[in-house]
Amino acid sequence: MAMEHVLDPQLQAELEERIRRIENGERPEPFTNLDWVYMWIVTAVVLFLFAVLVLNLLLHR
Amino acid sequence: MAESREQAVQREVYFGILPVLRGERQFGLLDFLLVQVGFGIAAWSFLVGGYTGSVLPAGPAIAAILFGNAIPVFLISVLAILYARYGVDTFIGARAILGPRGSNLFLIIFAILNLGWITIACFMLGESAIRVVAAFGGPEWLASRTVGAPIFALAAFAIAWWLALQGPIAIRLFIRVGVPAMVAIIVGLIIYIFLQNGVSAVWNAQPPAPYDTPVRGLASAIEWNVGLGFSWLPYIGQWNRLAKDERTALIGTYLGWGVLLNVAAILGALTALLVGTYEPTEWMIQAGGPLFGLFGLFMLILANLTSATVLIYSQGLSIKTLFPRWKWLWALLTTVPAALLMLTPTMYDSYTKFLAYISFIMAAFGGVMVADYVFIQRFHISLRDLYRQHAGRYQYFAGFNWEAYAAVILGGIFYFWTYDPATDRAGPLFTYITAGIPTFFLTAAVYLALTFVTRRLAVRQEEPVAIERGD
Repeated sequence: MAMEHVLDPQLQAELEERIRRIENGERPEPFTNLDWVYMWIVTAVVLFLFAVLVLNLLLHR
Repeated sequence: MAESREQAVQREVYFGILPVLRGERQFGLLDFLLVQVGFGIAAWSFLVGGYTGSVLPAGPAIAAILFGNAIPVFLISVLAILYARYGVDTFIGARAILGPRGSNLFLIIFAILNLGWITIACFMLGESAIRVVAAFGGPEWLASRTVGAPIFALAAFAIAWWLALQGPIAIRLFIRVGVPAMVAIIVGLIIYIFLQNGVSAVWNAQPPAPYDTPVRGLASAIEWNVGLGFSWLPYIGQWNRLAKDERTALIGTYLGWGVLLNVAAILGALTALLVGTYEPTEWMIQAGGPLFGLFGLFMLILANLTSATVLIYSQGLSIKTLFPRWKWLWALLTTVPAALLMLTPTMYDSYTKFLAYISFIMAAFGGVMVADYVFIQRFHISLRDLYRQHAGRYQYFAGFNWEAYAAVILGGIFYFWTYDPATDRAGPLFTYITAGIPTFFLTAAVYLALTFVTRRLAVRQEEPVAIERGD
């Protein structure tokens, strides 16, 4: 059973049109490598804080 | 008056299954962050912080909260790109990975777990409301946990349900006012606590219910927080399909759920250490004083109302992918069983067990989904095939990606060998590696290995046929 059997005909036509437009490139701005760099920086800070605070726990137990 | 075609299309964009086009996206980075924070700062973040602070001192508690939330969200945030790029809901996007029936099964699991989340948000609202009633000298029955809290929880559920009925634009307007107010009160409470008690008193406070060893406490606290971190997996699509660009989706998801919501969890941990209870509605007045405490209780009411609304909307939207012809109202009605769970505090009081089960389920599904999208699909999927339920390249075998489900089951066996949430029994590795994050990596590795082997076998079976045909 394809999706065309469960949608109203007008919505099916709209779905087809939207799929065509998105496949033809009507998409939001893509991510860049810089976005990943920002995320890695934040993650590195989290890991650093984690290491320091846990080391503190282990050394003082 | 009959609905016009334009209205029907708009309805199906925001309440249904049509992919959202670039020009229809509602959320820039600020709005997106507000939604994520508004959704994230609620019962679950305060409670997980409170439980963490009841087993660990301040420093390790903050470490467990930061690590436990940021790392799982970092691992699964790559899926935000899928949903933002194609404008589709979680469970439509998941068809590419789990198969159409496999995705429907994931949706059913999500809908069951979502009832638990709705209950926790509404019941904490009920708990907050009875404290306010008690503070203003209201009737005893209305301030009780067994009668008053369920009544307020059910009333909150009804209001959240009505807000969800209005759709994402109403939710955005609601959040623009509510979230900055919530964040301001939380930051104010943290500053107040430090000023009132002194930094060293807070930092050196001992946890009220520690484990036998600090390392065991650390492992359990990380596991609860990891459960919360992975719990966002099924909610990524519902909001990222409305993100204006992929950057907003990727960074907004990570910062909102992985980093910013930790402010609420840290507040929960610090106050649990000072007051000696994990229950936010109990410590709010004790830690914040009569004025700040009441502000805090109103903040908890607002926060949980926002989150319950978002949870109900998310479930309605996802249910529409399974039953496209259903009206929005019917889809929202699937959340009504949560009302039964609000009649007693049992579900609310079992929060850490609930988190551990979430950790296993979502870590395993997350491992498969991320491995498939990054290493097998390589960030490219066919939108057309997502909408062909029993045709196209995502059919797999009888609509299920069996390699994915086999990997999830093996991940589950590993998880329960490492840690049993029902009895809080730790396996030999738990204190060294915990359970949720290793389950994510193990499931991903098993899935990739199974896929590699089955594809090699399929190629070998096809080769003799091709030779006979003279291809």
